[in-house]
Amino acid sequence: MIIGSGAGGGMAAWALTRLGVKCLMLEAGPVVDWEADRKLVSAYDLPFRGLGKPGRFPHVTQAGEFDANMWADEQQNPYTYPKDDPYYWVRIRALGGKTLRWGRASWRLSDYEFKCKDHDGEGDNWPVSYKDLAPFYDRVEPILRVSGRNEGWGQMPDGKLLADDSRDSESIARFREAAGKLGVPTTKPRRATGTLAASTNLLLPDAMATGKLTIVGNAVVRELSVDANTGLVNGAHYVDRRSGQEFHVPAKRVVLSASTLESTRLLLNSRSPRHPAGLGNSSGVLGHYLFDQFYIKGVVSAVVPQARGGRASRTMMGGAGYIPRFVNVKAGGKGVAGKRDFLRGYAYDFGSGGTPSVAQLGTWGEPMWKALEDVRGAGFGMTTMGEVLPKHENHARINPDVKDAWGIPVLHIQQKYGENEFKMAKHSEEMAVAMCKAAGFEVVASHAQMVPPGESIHELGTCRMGADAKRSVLNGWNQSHDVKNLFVVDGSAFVSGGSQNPTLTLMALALRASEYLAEGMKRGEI
Amino acid sequence: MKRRNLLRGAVLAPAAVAVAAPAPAQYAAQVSDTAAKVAVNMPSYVGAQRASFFDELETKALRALAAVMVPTYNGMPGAVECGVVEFFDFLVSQAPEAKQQLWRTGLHELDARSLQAHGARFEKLSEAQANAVLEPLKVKWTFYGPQEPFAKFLWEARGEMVQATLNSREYAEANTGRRSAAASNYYWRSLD
Repeated sequence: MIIGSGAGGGMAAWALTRLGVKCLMLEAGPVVDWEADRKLVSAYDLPFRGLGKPGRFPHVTQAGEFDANMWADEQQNPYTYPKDDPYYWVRIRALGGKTLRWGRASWRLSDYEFKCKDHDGEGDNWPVSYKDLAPFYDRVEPILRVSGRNEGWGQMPDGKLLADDSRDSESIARFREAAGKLGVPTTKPRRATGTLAASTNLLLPDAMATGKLTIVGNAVVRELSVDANTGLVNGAHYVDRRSGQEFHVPAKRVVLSASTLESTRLLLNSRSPRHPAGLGNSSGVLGHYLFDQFYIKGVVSAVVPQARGGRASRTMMGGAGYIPRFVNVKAGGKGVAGKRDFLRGYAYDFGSGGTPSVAQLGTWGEPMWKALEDVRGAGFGMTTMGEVLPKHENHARINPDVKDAWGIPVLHIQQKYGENEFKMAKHSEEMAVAMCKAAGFEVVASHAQMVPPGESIHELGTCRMGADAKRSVLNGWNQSHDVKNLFVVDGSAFVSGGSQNPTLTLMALALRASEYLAEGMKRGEI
Repeated sequence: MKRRNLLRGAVLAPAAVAVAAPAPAQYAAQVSDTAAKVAVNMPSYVGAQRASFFDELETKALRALAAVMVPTYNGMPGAVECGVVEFFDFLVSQAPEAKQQLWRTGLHELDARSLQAHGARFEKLSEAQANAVLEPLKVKWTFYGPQEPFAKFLWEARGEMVQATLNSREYAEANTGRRSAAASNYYWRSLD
């Protein structure tokens, strides 16, 4: 049984069915029809002119009026957090999960992340190294059709990429040259390509074609059931999303990939005499070490002077790039030398060709129109993605007093950024401004305000892997230390996250875990 | 099994008879028994939007604010011409209480500051006087914007009025004369 149909669940279905394993997939949301469920409309034909119904999604800043119906409804799916520490939990409940809307950035982790403790003494190493995962990255990248450029930098391992040999616009070239003079490496974006890059077009069709996969939509899993004698998982209780009818479906093995926090919620809600603190939680670590990547959206907003006044030509403006972590990197990594007052590092996305906002221009009335006309298409912007240190105190637990629309207890989520993240954020603002100025750009605005935890949609941890069963939930194969027929293959398994977008890594882990499971089944060991 | 089928047949029989009954002869030539394919280019509304949330003084202040903040420019319509006043009357009426409060208080404050500084409500001020009342907008840009309520209101009003103007049918038609030139995207129907 596979629970969840996004990046991890889709990958598991793809891998297991190809190896002849018969799978049942439970998906909490409806089955989306990419054609029938969408239509092209103009903003003025929507009731709120594209601004969206105020207050409908207090925690989903990404939701607009066009795609409002795609995001998980916050009334039906509530959660709680401490009054002064808001957590923005962004969810999609539909076949394909968040792969229907992900940013597609596909960067490999390196041993700067997998063996992070060896580098700086902080946190924990993963029970796998880059060498273990590299062959699986090699296989996932072609599925996603990732384009990019191999650079040979230690903190940014090369991949099996569609070569991006596109020419940089003049503004991008100038920025890259200026960054290079400051010792900061820059490269092309690395992204999954195609009109759609979701599990629903890249993974599930192949799995269905084997005849081994059955998908059941609208199945909201309430609890995993356990054999009282063996302690092994033996099925799932689920409720039909629309009718509220309760069902139980048996399973010999469960691959859980309901998304980072939903998987942990399900395990915490699956209490039994054999597993009183939640399924697979003899360590007491389940729910802890919640982290993500902090984002500083628009850390700098600048204008390319030569593009002002309607001169933003296609050769001068447009295009994008990426700066991998470049601080606190040593042998094999390309970066800026020097001692920092923070651990780890951060990355940037940068792009050319936008227009600064009216708020950034600071005007109104006719001067505002003139200013907008002057800088239209002349903007250059950067966003910081920073590594967040996993801490035990940042956690999710069950709030028994609040239940969702199906009567299932919800999560109470508690995460705060610490001193390391704040120092890193400030440094990233200073560096971004320095690079833009060195490129001759006019800095319109800069800031170091991190978005609230969770808002980057890169929530990770809470069901982490580890070599020590007393300090982790899963072993090096994404397999529960306590429950050998339970695997968790989403972002909850991460031990640390670096500053790289996590989807590619969780898919590589899901592929590796699924093949390990299939092999174990063949040998009669799982 | 035979008995069950017999029962089912008995239950279905009256409906089947009703469906099969021929239409009266005088309608037979005009009525189709299949659902019509209606045109997909029906306008989403006709006529003018009717305001009902803000009171008369608030509406006057809102209209004046829209005219000052997002005026007509270079032959293109401004916020007022794009129906932004009526639109915000609707939008704010649908908003959580905190936003309703912010806008109501903000509009009252607009008049209060105008009366204090210039002895007249905002709608009666000259352009220079109005711009002076909007000075709180001249704060340094921050990601979350100002937190002082009046500045926050002005900040939010400016951003949303510009977007509502650019996304309006009136602006799109003035821009190119073609509807397809307006902001458009894929709209997700309800997935239920």
